Amino acid sequence: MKAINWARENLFNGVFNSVLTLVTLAFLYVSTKGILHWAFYEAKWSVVPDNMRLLMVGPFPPEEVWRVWAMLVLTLLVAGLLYGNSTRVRPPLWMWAGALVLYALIWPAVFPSTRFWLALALLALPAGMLLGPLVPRRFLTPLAAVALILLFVLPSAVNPNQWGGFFLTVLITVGVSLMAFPFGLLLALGRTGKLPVFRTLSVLYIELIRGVPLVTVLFLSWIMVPLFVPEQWRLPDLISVSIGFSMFAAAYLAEYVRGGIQGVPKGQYEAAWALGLSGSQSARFIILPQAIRSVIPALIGQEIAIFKDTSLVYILGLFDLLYMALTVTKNPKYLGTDREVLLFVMFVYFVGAALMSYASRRLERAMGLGTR
Amino acid sequence: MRKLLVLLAVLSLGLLGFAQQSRLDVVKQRGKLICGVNGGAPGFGFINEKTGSYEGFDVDFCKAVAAALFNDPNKVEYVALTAKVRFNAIQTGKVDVVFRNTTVTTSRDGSVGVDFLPVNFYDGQGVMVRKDLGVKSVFDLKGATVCTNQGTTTEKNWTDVDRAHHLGTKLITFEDFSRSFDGLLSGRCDAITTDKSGLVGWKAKAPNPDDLVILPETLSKEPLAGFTFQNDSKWRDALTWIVYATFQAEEFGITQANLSNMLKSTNPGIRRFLGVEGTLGEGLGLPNDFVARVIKHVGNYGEIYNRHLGPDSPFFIPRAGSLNAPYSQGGLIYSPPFR
Repeated sequence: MKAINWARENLFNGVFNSVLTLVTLAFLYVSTKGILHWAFYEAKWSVVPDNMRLLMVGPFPPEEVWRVWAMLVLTLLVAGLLYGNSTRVRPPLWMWAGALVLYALIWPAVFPSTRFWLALALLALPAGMLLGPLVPRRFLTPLAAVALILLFVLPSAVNPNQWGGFFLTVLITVGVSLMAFPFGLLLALGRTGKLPVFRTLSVLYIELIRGVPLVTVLFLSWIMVPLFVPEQWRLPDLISVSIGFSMFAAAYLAEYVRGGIQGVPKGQYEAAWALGLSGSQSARFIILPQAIRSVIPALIGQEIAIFKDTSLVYILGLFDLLYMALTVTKNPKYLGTDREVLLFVMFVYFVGAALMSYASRRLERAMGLGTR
Repeated sequence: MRKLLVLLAVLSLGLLGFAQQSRLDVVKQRGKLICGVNGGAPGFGFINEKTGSYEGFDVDFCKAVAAALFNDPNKVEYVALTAKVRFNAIQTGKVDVVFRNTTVTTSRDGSVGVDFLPVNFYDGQGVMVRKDLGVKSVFDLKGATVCTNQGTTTEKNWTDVDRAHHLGTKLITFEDFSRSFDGLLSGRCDAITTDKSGLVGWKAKAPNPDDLVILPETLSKEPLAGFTFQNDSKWRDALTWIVYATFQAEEFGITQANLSNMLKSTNPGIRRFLGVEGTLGEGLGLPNDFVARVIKHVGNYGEIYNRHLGPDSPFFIPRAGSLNAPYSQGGLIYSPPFR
């Protein structure tokens, strides 16, 4: 009854609105009918589960895929440990239940041998949180260091030319962020600082890089970086491209951070000076914490942009998620399935970007952004 | 300044010293071939969903090279190359050789600075019709409606063919080739025309691919060949004769199946070819039995062709009567003598 009343009040109050409602409904029906019919009757969705391994890890040798699983388990476990240790929060029930539901949903799509890894990966985060408070604090740093080294060692047994899919997309995103952030910070400090040499160099660098399309930077780094290292090293394309990508991202990050630095009130500088802090001390303890806190939304925005821009590496033959998906449709068995595969790619990118936005909101709230 | 010059001189000497080492020796030392391929060309190069490995017509030539050098077709590291970067990959030495449906042209051989291997596939503009039209040759298409995309050389080529053979066809052009394809399926077009290797992809996308036929004639020149470094004769010679070996094996009728019998053949030409006697391979810096290795692991040209583009594959491109037939059957697949 409530629904009918609501509809009468909001959708059918008067002739014009009634007609408008009917026309809209008819339009919605006509426009979605084809899509729904395609999605439920014509689409060959089997292409996605059949090629799931290619989409996730690319041409990675099947017998080595456990390495990627191990990396995932390790990352989640350590993240859980650190979180559990610092907050002393026990894993909530929904986390265990969610792991169970996800396992039930995903297990038909993976090979029997990988179901074990899937279970491990799903349990790693809550298990880490459970164990976190038990680990003495002084063990945490060495533990994280060992995990970090393992993360480098695990995939290195496989030639980087064979890395691909979503794994490569995530790897480039993380790698580029880790390299670009410190570099961007330095550039921002250089540009806002008093030393003319650093200021000029920073301005030149930022303006030069920002004036060039990302594709050009990627292409140049693909050709140029190998010239700087000895010929017998044969730097993997992945590395040379990531270096170029980081140089590009750093220029943008620097400008965001500079915005934050310039937004810090002049009184803060004077206060730091009055306390007798040196230049680097005031930057480290007074200016940067406030500057970065105020530009978190922009930084996460840049992070999401990096995540999506990784799809450009396809021009250099790196099999990121998108290129891998397009390649899948060239397999004689799956010709003409471009729409299904692209929708799946869209879904993966959307979930990834949505998670980052969510994390950004949590971070803003935790840091009290806009409230003080 | 003088120090700088000395440094430059030393560097260039070092480079010269490096250049004198043929890529053939580098590859042998490394123990595997780095081969540039197309990651997504239906029939020519794609990734198998089960094994994650590359398959296709071009890929088989990479395997042939690895088989000749290492007696193991899997000692290849594949690098997927887009059309934009395929020549840079050779110029910067990232790959040893590229087999990636590339047309041989003067400017590529000259100013781009790569050296081409023998042509292993004669692509070119082809024509596809519906089977129920009952057409066997392009020249049967009198008065037909032909569709293609606007403003391409394809369009111009067809007008030339039409005029030369007085076909009197009606040409309809679309912005996008998918419209031509829809036109063919719906009956608006009697025939559509574009590159043959492209036509096979479209054909396989049809709801019922068997209703469509690609006619044997080829209307333009798109000879596809592998390519490698300029000024490295030793490496290029080895590659060249590995490609020729697949042609010659087909001419001799040597296949993967009958290789063991052929090795016992008394025909001196075949014995020399397979390395049972003589030292043909040695002069190229290859093992004497390199041909036998190629046939054992990859097969002759006809076998490679049928595996990926033959009647049983989803990308059937008729070979008989086309330029890809052996020269004895009127095609252009011809190997100089192995002696």
